Amino acid sequence: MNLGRTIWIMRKEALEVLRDRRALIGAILFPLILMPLVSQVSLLGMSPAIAKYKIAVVNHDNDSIASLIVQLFTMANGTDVVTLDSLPVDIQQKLMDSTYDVAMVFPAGFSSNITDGLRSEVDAMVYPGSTRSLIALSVFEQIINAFENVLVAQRLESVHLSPEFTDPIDLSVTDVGKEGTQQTSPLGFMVSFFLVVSAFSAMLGIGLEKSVGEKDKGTLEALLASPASRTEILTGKLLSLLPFGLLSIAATITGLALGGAITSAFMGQTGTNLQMITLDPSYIPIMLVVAPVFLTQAAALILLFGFFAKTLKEAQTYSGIVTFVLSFGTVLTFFFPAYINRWICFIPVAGMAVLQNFYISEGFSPFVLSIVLVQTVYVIVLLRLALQIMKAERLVSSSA
Amino acid sequence: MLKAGVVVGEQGMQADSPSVITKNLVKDFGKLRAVNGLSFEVGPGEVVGLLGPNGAGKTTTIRILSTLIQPTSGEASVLGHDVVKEPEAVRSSEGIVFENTNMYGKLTGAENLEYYGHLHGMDGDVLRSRVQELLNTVGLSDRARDKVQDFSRGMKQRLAIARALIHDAPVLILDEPTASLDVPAARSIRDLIKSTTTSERKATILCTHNMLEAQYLCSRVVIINRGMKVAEGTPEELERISDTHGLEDVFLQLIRSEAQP
Repeated sequence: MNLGRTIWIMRKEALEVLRDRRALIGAILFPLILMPLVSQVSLLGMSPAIAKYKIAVVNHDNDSIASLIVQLFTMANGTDVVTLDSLPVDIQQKLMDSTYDVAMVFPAGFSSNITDGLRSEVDAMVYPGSTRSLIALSVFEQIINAFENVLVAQRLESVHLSPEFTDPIDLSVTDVGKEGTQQTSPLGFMVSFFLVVSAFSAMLGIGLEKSVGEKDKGTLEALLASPASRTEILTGKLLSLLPFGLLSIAATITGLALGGAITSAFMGQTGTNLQMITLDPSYIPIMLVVAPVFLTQAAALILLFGFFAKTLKEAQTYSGIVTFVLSFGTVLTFFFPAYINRWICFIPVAGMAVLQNFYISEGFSPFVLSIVLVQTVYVIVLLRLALQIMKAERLVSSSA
Repeated sequence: MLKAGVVVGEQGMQADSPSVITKNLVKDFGKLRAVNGLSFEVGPGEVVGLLGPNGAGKTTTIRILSTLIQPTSGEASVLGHDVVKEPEAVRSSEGIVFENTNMYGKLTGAENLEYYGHLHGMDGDVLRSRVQELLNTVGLSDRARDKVQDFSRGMKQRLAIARALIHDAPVLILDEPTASLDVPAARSIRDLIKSTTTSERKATILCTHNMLEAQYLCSRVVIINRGMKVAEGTPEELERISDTHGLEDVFLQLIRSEAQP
């Protein structure tokens, strides 16, 4: 293999990408802007910062306890309580079109039942098709639960019993993750998923242009008829994809961290733990091990079916299926127990994305090492397959 | 009436040893035989026209000669290098313009030429001056720094010819180099082919459907049909034997005689 020629091929391919606005937007701007939007705007949309939770209250009781609870509703952050004499006839429609998020009815005798030590009921109406409706219900459930706890505590105190009398067991939770990497499991799932969705997709767009795109544009035959060997062409194209994949990973993680920062700024809470991860220096060596194997596999896979496909349309069909399968592999890890997820690590490309989660939680263990080795073998197999496809005559001709 | 199988002055046309030789070349695509025992030679300073109707096997022959595909049987060599055994040496010896070829749109005209120069092992001042020289030759020096995506079809085709000439290859293979070009653009490319072949004694294979172009450029023509050679000779010789005027009539007579049972 002539290294000089390979480098010239890589340089030319990279130069073309740098001049391709679409490719740069897809690889860098897309994850950088879309990640915070996807991960946080949806949360913002559901939060009271955008619109207050509207509750319609019908109080048939008008006694002290019901009135106190309604008053607590009114005082809660982000709520807008509308008191009605009776429920409107079209309350169902009003809940469905978000005029109200929740409707609550305090029946007559609500307070007196509680005073008499009997059970009282509040009727709540929600529309489960609206996420805001369910969140609003949970807000009011918390208020009612808090009120209930105070009431129970008072009752226990009146008979000289402590609150522990009705709550004798305390559950103590310990995070067994390594120091500095706690609570990384859900995070690992997210990073794995977004690695596949954004970094793989970004490389996909560029890689298809560099393979089947050359066929479509009529530049491939001249390249194949040049002194550059198939190995040099494949290597040059593959190497040109890697920096953009790496940039896309960096943009994805930065985008996710930005999402966390936005949550923090607008919602006054930590949001995701991504800030912790991206700022943790121990994550850098992990990415240095995971990213090259992941990116080389992804690039080899993309070039493989890029050169296999006869047209860009055909390649796009394959790419949709491949992206779905790979991202689905990472989604599975969210639901499956760890011992099954360890097997998911054996899936090419997606497995490498999932592996970083194990790497974070258990360090460079024998398991992590063995998966890295297996995944490296996949790289070699994928590259050899891609080379075979490049050498096949169907690449340039299938008929006279 | 001229019948298929006429070979006029087959050997002895070339003073030098042939640059391109094909012997009993056969190429099958499954059950389809695209090239069937084709033999011809091209010497330095010659433009040999490879003429034939659609599906005759012209492009397949060119793809074999450019090492993109391998023959099923027979031999083909370029400057003594076998296309199967020494593909890199063959590719280094050839400058090729494929049918429907294109240039990299995001690169400038000069960058396109420089890229192929680098692939051919050229570098530095030698490459830069060669690029400038070729851009002047094809009349694109004023557009050297413009991206090719903004070029007209004729300009792209001229650049494709410059690309084929970048490494000063002794063998040129041109597949429909003037197809879909307007008259002035086609004429300028024909003149360029003629002057380059004559002055630099390149062995040139020209595939074309344009018989006037073949008559204007070719010192010899090989007419093929269904993968087989049906006639070979200078345009004048073939005209004389067929008692017709113009290569187009010769071509039609041969193809029709082939079609008759």
